[in-house]
Amino acid sequence: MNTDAGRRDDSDRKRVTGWFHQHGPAVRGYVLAMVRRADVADDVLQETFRKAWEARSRYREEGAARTYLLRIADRLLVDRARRSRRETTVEATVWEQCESGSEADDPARTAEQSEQRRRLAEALAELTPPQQRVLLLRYYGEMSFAEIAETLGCPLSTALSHARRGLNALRQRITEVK
Amino acid sequence: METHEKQRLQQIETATSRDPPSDEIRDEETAELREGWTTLVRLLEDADRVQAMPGLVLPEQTPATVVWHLRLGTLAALAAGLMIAVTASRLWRSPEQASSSRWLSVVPVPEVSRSELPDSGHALPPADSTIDDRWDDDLDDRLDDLSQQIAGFHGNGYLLDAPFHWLSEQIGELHEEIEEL
Repeated sequence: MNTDAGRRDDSDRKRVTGWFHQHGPAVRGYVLAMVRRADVADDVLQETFRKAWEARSRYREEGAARTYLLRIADRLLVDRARRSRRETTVEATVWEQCESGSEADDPARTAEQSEQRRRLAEALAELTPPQQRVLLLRYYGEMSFAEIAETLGCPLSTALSHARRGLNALRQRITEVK
Repeated sequence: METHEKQRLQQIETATSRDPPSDEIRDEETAELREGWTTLVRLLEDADRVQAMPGLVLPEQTPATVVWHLRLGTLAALAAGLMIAVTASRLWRSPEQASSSRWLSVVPVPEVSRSELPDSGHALPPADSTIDDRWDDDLDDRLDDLSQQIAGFHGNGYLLDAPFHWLSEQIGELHEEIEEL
């Protein structure tokens, strides 16, 4: 019995580790874009995979691991936002300070990265949190809008409205910058 | 789903798909939405290019699994110990059982001849030489067999029932806990 349990444990470990390599960057990207703090993104990423690991016996493989992981991450973000609103509303400068630590060796590269993050932070600041969630889940999870609506716990028409308004806001911003 | 909502869904899905065929973007509104989407995608791709992924740390074993294995191991050790004790006890009891199992057997009564009986004055029927008054049936053997069976039942059954009942209870509890997990 122990051997069976050990074999199952190894198999689950391989699967979850595989998920991390395959979907980890998307999950972290989503979380980072939402909270704009690398340290929080890393914590949420770990927590997401810890929860996936704990729930491994209940997971049914349907080829939607990324959607599954993003839903866990999104739920964790909602919980965090309830506990502390500061984590979801930090300024772009804080994001730059937190994220640039490991690449500080090359000043030119660091400056370029900071500029990229600043532009993304400014663009996302134009969107409301629900608009951000809808568009970021669409981008990182390649989810259908029905899946996004289910993740957000809202009707499909609401998810579509968030997407439309968010995209219009982004386009408006580009037009103004030009 | 209403027709209007279907159209909206199709429009936004086209505008936000990875690589939509250009002929699908016929109307101006979809093209505008697409413009907003490509802006966001470009910004995200630039930001993600410099992402520093941390390592993954998975727990070696969940505490529940550890507890489960410990309990199972303890139970297996107890069961093995009990089985050894029972087997040793049976081996030890067998010779003793064999010698003591005759406690119910009937000791044959020595024969007493009619001539040796004291004269009590009571009228006795005349001695009939054709009647053999010794016990000559198989009662002794049957009683002996029965006593051995009862002794065997006590020796084996009672000794084994208690630990197996306890083991059965323990396994039942463990099964319930596994079900709850």
